[in-house]
Amino acid sequence: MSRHKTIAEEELVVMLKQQDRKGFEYLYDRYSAALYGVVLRIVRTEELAQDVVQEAFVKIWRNFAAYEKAKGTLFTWMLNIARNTAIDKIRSQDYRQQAQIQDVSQSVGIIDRQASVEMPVNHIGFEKFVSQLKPEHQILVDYLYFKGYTQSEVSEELNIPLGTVKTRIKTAIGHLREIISINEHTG
Amino acid sequence: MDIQDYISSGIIESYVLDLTSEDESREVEALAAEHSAIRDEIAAVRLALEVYAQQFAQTPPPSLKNRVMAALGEPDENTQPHASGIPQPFIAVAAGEASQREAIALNPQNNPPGIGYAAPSRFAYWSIAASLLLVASALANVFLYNRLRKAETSLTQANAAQLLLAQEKQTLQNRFGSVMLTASVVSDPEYKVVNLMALEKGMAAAVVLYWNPQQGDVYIASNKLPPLPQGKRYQLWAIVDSKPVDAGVFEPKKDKNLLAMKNMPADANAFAITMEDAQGSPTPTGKMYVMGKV
Repeated sequence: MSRHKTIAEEELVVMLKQQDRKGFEYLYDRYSAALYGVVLRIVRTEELAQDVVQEAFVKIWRNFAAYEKAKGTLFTWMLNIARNTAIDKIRSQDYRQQAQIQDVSQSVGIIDRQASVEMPVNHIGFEKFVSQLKPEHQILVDYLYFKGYTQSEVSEELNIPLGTVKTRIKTAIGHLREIISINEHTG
Repeated sequence: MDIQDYISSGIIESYVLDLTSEDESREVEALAAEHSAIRDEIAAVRLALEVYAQQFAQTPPPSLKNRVMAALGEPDENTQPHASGIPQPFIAVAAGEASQREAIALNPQNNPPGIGYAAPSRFAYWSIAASLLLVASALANVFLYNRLRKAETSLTQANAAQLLLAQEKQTLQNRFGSVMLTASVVSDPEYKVVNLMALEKGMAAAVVLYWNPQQGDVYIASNKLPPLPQGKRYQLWAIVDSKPVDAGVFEPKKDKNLLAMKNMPADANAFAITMEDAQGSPTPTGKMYVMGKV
C-alpha cells in the first residue's frame, strides 16, 4: 500500500485534473492524516471525523477541475473543503444529537478515548512544537483557521475587542513563523 | 504605496485566513501580481499555517481509505483496464495456435481468414465469462458492504448503549457512596447532632449539623434557608471561647447528601450561620439567620 515514490505537486495536479485514480490514491496517502487531524479538532468524534473526511475527499475528487493553482496550494484548497464540510456537519441536526452522546462518553469513556485518540501521532515533538505557541495565539488560529470563524465571531466568543483580534492575528502568525524557522534550523 | 507598510499592516495574514472582504482580496491579489515581496509574504504565511495544521496530523483508520475509494463511484472508461487498450492482434496471437504466432506477429496484415474469424469468437467467449465473474464479484461486494454497514451501525449503537450504562453505573455509585457516608455519620455515636434554629420569629430557617468533636468533622445534613441574593453566600461559624471561627462558605444544597464543612475543634460550644459576600469573611459581618448550641 505505502508508496515510496513521491510525486511532485504539479504532476499530481495534472493527474487529478485527468481524474487519475492512482493520483488520487497518492493524494489520499499524502494528505489524509493532516486533514483528518484538523477535522478531528473541529468535530471532536472520530466517527464523525471519518464521515467528514470521506465526504471531503469525494468533493475534492469531483470538483478537482475547480482547483486553481494561483489561488493557493493544493493543501490549502483541500483544507478549506474539509473544514467547510466539517463546519456544515457540526451545524447540522445530526451532530447535536451525536454531541449529546459524546457528553456522556466524556464523563465515563475517558480511557476509551485515550486509547483511540492517541493512537497514531505521527509527528514526534508534536507537544513541544505546539506548546511553543502561546495559548491565546493557538486558540485564535484554531478558531479562524480551523473552525472558520469570522473576526467578529471570535471577538464575541473569546470576549476580546475586535481591534485586539486583528493585531493578535498578525502577532500569532508571526510567532508561528519564528517557531517554524527555529524548528527547521534545529532539525 | 509603501509595500513594506502594506505587508506589516496584517492584511496578508487576514487574506490567507480568508477574512478579507472581496474588495480587499482583489487589492491583495492585484498587488501580489505586481510585487514579488507580497507574493513571497503570502506564500510564507500560507506555509506557516500549513505546517501548523500538519502538527495535528493523525492517521485515520486504514478502512477509511477503502470507504473513500469506494465512494468515488465507478472509474471512468479510460482509466479502467479495458480490452480496447490492448492491441487486437496481440489477443489474436494469445488465443491463436502456437504454430501460427510467428507468421502473425511478423506480418499482422496477412492473417489467414480462418484465424481472423476464430479469434474474435474465442475472445467474445472469454469476455462473457469475465463479465459474468465481474458481475458476481460486484454483487458479492455490494452484499459484503451492506453487511459491513449493518455491523458498523450495530456496533455504534452498542457503544452508545454501553456508554449510557456506564454512566448510570457511575451515577449510582456516587449516590451509593453518599448514602453510605450519611449512614456511617448518622449511626456513629461520636457524632453530635446540632440543631440550628431561626433567630427571628416566623422566619423559615433551620439547619441540622453533624459534628464529631473528637475528629472535628462537620457536615450539614439539612438546610432550610432563604434564597441567596446575587453574589452572596451563607457562612458557617463555630463559636469557640465565645469567638466565631470560620467553618466554611456554602450555598444551600438541594439534595439529601451531607455537605462537608471545615473541621472544628472539640471546644466549640455553638454554631451559627450568617450571610456574607461570596468569598466569605474573616469575621461575621452579615445578618445571622440561625444558631444552635452544642
